[in-house]
Formats: sequence, C-alpha cells, structure tokens
Amino acid sequence: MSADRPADDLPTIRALADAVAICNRCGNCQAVCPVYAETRTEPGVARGKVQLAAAILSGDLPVDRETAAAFSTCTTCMACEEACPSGVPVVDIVAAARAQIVETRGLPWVKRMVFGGVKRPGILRAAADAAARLQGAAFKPASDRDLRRLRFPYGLAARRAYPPLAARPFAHPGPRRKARAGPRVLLFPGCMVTYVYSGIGHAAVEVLERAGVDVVTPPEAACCGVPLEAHGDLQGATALARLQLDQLEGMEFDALVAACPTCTSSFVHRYPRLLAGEPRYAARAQRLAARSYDITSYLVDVVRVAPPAGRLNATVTYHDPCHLARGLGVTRQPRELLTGIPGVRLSEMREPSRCCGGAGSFSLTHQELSLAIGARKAADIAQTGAEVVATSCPGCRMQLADVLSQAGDSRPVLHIVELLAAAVGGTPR
Amino acid sequence: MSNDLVRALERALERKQILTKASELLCYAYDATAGDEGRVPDVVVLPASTDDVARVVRIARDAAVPLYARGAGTSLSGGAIPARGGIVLSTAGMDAVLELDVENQCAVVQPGVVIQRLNDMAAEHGLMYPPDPGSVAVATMGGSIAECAGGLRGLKYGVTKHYVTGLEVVLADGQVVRLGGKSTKNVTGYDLVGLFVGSEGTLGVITEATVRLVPAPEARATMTAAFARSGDASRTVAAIVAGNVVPATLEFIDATTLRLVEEYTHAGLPTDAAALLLVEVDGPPEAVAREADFVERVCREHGGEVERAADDEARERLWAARRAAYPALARQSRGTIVEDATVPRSRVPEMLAAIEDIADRYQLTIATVGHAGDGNLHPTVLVDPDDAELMERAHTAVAEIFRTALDLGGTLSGEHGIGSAKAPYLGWALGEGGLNLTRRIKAAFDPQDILNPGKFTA
Repeated sequence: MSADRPADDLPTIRALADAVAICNRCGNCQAVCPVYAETRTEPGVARGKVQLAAAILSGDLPVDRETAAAFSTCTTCMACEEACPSGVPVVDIVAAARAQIVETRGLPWVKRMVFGGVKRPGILRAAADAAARLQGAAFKPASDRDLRRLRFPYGLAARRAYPPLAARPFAHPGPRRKARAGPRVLLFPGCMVTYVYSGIGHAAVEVLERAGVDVVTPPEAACCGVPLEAHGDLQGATALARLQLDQLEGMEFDALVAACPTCTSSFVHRYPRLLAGEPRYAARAQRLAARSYDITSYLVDVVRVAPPAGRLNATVTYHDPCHLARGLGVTRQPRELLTGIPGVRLSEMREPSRCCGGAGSFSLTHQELSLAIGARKAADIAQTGAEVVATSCPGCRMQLADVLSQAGDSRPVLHIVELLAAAVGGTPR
Repeated sequence: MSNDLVRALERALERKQILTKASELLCYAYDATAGDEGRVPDVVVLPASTDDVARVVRIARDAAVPLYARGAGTSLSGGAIPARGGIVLSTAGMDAVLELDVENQCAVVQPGVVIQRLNDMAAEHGLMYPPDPGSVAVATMGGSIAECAGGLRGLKYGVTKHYVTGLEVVLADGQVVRLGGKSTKNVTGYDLVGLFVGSEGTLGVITEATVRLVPAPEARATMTAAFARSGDASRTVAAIVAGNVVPATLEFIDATTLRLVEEYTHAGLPTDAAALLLVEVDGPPEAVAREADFVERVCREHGGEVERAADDEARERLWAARRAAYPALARQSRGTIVEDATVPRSRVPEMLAAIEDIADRYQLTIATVGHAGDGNLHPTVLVDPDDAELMERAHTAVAEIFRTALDLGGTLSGEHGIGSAKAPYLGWALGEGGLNLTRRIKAAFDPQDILNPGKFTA
C-alpha cells in the first residue's frame, strides 16, 4: 500500500479517528503496560500504538505486514485504558487497526485456513476430536504434572508446555428435572472449556445445579469469535456473532453464563457492537447482553449462592483475569466465593489484576514476551505462600500452569468453580 | 548517509538494539508536548551500558549527526523531540538500581530507572527521594535529572537539583567522565554536577547518577480550604509561610479547574468557591499536629471553609480533586498546553489575575492549578491540536503569560524546562548576555552541536 492512500480507504480505523485524537501523549500508560515492562520500547506501549494509528490515518504509515506486526504486540489487557487520563479506548483502537490491516491486505493464508475451521463448528469439533486421539503421538509428558510438550518442538511452540486436549469434549445432557423449579441458565462453554478444560465445564454444571439452577448448553460448541477479532478478522468474528445468536434463538433461559470472561465479554460488549448496524440482530444482541454474566457474578449477585457444605483447608491466592476485572468490572465476587469456602484462606498476590501474559494466541505468536510477562506473575504467586492458585478464566489457567511449571513451581492452578465443586467432594483432583 | 550510519551502529551494537522500521521510528518522534508534531528520527538505539552509549556518541560525532537522549518521553517542553532527525538514544532499558546505600542515605542508579521505583525501594528503608513530578510513575531518573524536574513537594523538599550529588556522563566526543559522588558537601572545582542537572541533554548523556535520599516523614495531616475570593486563598498562603510553617504540599486550584473536575468526577466539590487550597504538613507526629492546627486556624481566619482528613480514606478523598485535575482537563479537550510560569510567592495573586484576564481577552479556557507555596503555577490551556486558529491564539496567550511572569520578577519555567517550546522566549529571561554565555557553554561542551540540537541553545 502506498503511503498516500486516501484516508477514505480506511473506514474501519477511520471510525476511531476521534478516539485516536484525544491521546495527549502523556505517556502514563508506560506505568502499567505489561508489554512495555519487558521491552522498554515505545512501540510496545499504548501511546506508541495510538500514534501509529494516527500515522495510518494521516497516510504516514503504510498498511502492511510490518505495521501488522507492530499492532500484534498487545495483550489487550486494558490496563492502559484504566490508567489513561484522557480515556483513550486503546483496545478498540488496536482492534480497529488490526481489522483495517486485514480489510486492506487480506488474511495471511495460514490464518485463513485456521479461521475457516473455527467458523464452522462441525469442522472444529472433528479436528479437535482427531487431535485429541493423535496427541499421544505428537506430545510427550512434560516433567510436571499434567502438561505436555511437543515431541518435535520447533518454531512457534518450542518453549511452551500445554495441557492435553480433553479426551472427550465437554458436553452436558441438559437439566435432570423435567419441570422447571428454579432459574434456568444457558452455560456457554467456549472453546477452552469444551476442548481443553472440560473439568471446568462439569464443575460449573455441578455448582449451578447445586444452587438450584437448571443448566442447558448451546446446540453447537462454536467459538465466541474473539480469537478471530484479535487477528483482525472482523468479518469472521461477525459471522460467529450471528451464528451464536441464531443458535440461541428460541431457547428458553433466564441468563447466559460463561466460565470464561472473554466469552462473557463477547455477549456483554462485543456482539452488540459488532451487530449494531444489523436490524435482524441488533436488538437481540442488546437483550442478550443485559442477561449475560460471568459465572462468579451470577453465583454471587443473582442467585446469592450459599457457601459449600464441605471444607477445603488451603491457602489460596487469586489471579484476576484482565477481561473479568477490567473488562467486566468483576473483582469482588470471585473473592467472596473463595473466602466463603470453609477452610480457605485468601492470600492476595502483588498486583493480582496484572496481565498473566496468556492473552490467547499471543502466548504462541509472542512466546518470549508471553513467558517473560508470565514469569513476573509466577514470582508474585510464589511470594504469597499460597498452596493453590485460583483464577476464573481457562486461558489464564493454562498460562499460569505453564509459567509456574517453567519456574519449577508445582502449585496447582484451578478455576474457582473447580474449587467450589471440590469443596463438596473433598480435595481438588 | 542514513545507511552508513546504521551500518556503523550495527558494528557497535547488537542488531536488536537498533530500531529502523518506519513503525518503530514513528514512535520516537514525539514526547508529551502538545501541539508539536515532532520529527521522525533516522534511527533509534537502545544502549544497555555506558560503553554502548559512548560508542553511539562517537559514531554521532564522527558522522556529525544529531543525537537525542530520551527517557520516558514525558517532557512538556519538547525536550525529547528529535527536532533535526538523526539518532534517538533511549536509556529506558538501562534501568538498574546499582546501589541503595542506607548508611549514607543515597542511591546509585542507571538513567532508565523510573522515579517511583526508586521511591518504592527507598520506602522499604524508611527513606524517600522527594522530587515527584506528575509523571513520577513513568518518568526516568535520567530524564528528570536532565530536565531538573520539580513536583508538589518543592516548597519543603526542593527539586531534583537539590538531590543529585554525582553523575557519570558521556560527553559529546564520547569521553566518559565521573563527576561528584556520595559526599553531600563537595566544593572540588566547578559544580559540574550542577551544570548537567537541567541541561536538557544539550551537554552530555547521563549514564549514571548518585542521588540523596532523606528520611520519610513519620506522620502527615491533610486538609482543604475553600475560599469565596481567590485573593483570600493567596493571603492564606502568605500567612502560613509567614508563620514559619513549611507545608510539604500547598496546592492552589482555581475556579475553572474546580468546575471541570466536578463535571468529570461529580465528587461534590465546592464549585461556588473561587479557589481551593490543598495543604499537607508532614514530619514528627507532635510537629504535624501543631502545624496542622496552625494551618487550619489561618485558613479559617481568612474565610476558608476547612475540611481536615481524619484518616487515610479521607485524605485520599481530599487529594482526589487535585489528582483528577489533569484527567478532567485532558478529557474535556483534545489537547492541553501545560505551562509552568513561576513568580515570587508574593506576586501569585497578581499572576492569577493576569492569567484570568489573558484567558478572557483571547477567549480561551485556561485552568490553573499550582504549587502556590513556591509560586510555580500551571496555567493549562485547553486546545485542539488540529485547530490551527485556536493553537495560534493559545500560543500568543502563552507568550503573554511568560511576559507577565517575567515582569513580576518571575521566570519562564519552574520545572518543565525550555526545550523547543519556550526557546523563542529565552532571550526575554536571560538577556543578550545570558544568551551569549549559554551559547559559549554549549560550544565548549559540544562544538559540533550534535547533542539535542534545535532546542534552547540553538
């Protein structure tokens, strides 16, 4: 693309022009950016990225692969937005820049292929099933517990350790009771819970049912679309938003609940925005947003769940997922749930809502950065003396398990619903 | 020329220490100065050591290329903008605290150390590093020393120049010199350390600093006083100081700021007040109690409506209006020109009246907060960098503010420095003789004019 490309050819990023203009370049974002803490370079931090967006708009920066790489170094943790005196919507600007690049240049073929599969739930499921069967051949156990490493590590994934894919994807047959007694929720499992941490899904069902709530699940375990939007595939993400609304249409439930805050924020924030201009979907997206909850806030604020009957004698520290703490403003509820478990002592870590560096596929595309950010989190966790690490996001759980194991730390990492479920059944796993 | 330069740098540094992509260079074109579009450098280097810096400076010298040292890029006077292109040298990655010497109450730091981090480490030993510019959470020691940053505690604790006792500097010819040290008393030759503090990167590149730490106060007391007349607030400030009480913080917040902050925070601020004072005294508990009582009495005697914090939570609430001042202004305009004209304390009322008059005449919104105790005011003009006519009017008004400050026996800049933004007015403050001396000093240190050229020494 030539540098003198007229601005009208850039509708997606142009829509954010006013937001870009309000940055007054004070640089306060440097204090909180997890990427900047590692790189100590201006392109890593929000101020730099907002100025790059301004340069795209003014025609001073071409929309090309190099620019795409610049916008890829962001975990979208939103810490800069919280610290920004001017209220610049940095994550929206980064997303718009990424989308503009894809709009102008198209998706690289690898992403096109992968996202093509993600957009079609049947293919995703078939691929995951095959991968789950074949993973024994491709992975060998890591030295630690339940993580595995690639047998022939090269390139992208060389240093990472992964949890195995679930032998059987998470599925829930539906409410046991025929007649409805209490409220009914649609538990949206999301990809991580469906294909990796199916135990979180089963624990969520158990905790909800014990609280007198009927649980149903969507007909198809389709992706919420965040991974696509994170890579700028706005079209694909919008298609998934429609797919989700379509498959939930006609289903009867009082609230939508997810155990993954990124999925929840899709329903609360992203779908109403993505579908705002579509008469068939806009109002439905709004209505669904109003009754979508993270599972911790649903349990505490809506059903006011009673503490579990059993005990769990453990010191627990809690990591706030970015998309839950800053994205949905939920920090109190997970702590109430934890401290409500008889026997649990909460030992707070330093900066509990600092990004863990996972950030979905960022952990693969920016492996070194992701591990460096995670290493700080591992050190903060080690200082607490807690026996168990709790969080409320499967993505954070995966990252925390990896960085702790890389630090030689064998503390278990669990989702809060797993701890709640375990508090009845005895000890976790 | 640019390719040769990069090749020379590649021989001196690792490739990952050199940034040359368009998307990287664009990120070093600016600092926090409003209305300056900046200039994209030819190359950015990320030195990891004094040796790295010296090698880069020698390359700049041999090629006669401008070299701009940069910390966190939070200058408000254009200090870090590469006005003539060339090399930007970021010291942000040289961020080790080399020594925290509790016995001698000092610290030895690399230039990239963030001020707040030094303070956090000092606090573990009951010590503090007092200079606290608004950017304290991000600004670096190197940048703040080069700019001689001040802050809210200036009245009682002084500014950066009162704390730097030693420096390691790479000179314009690539020589490394070590000046001063840990001694607080030092009259060995010229005060060369003092010369580099506030030199804005025009004389050398700071690669290490030794700074004094002081015992952190044991106790503090905080209050606000709202006044119906701005003059009463000024007279209160004078009366507090006349009573030989030196508050750690003595902040003035004008009616325009109060209104904008209230619109933004809805915190229930007294928007009918003409001025609000925020006063904090600190020290040993007995002295704090006595001084706080005195300040409270003086405020009331001058018609102030006083609110005194009973605990930390209340203290935070009282501070909220001051802390929200900048965000409130930033959110209600597309840009802010934050000035720091400074006058002798007794002339503050005249300066405030003049700012109001200038705002009226140029039809601008100028909100003023300031460190009333040391006469350092921050008239902040709400602007839109894309509105050329408004920017023109704002700059003319700012020039008039400078003129007024000088006429009142004050100065152009209390703590932001001259840089490029105030360079056109430097002659007003220094006169022909002062300007000539400045240029001769510059020529003696940097005959090729390669260090931060195009700024106040141009």
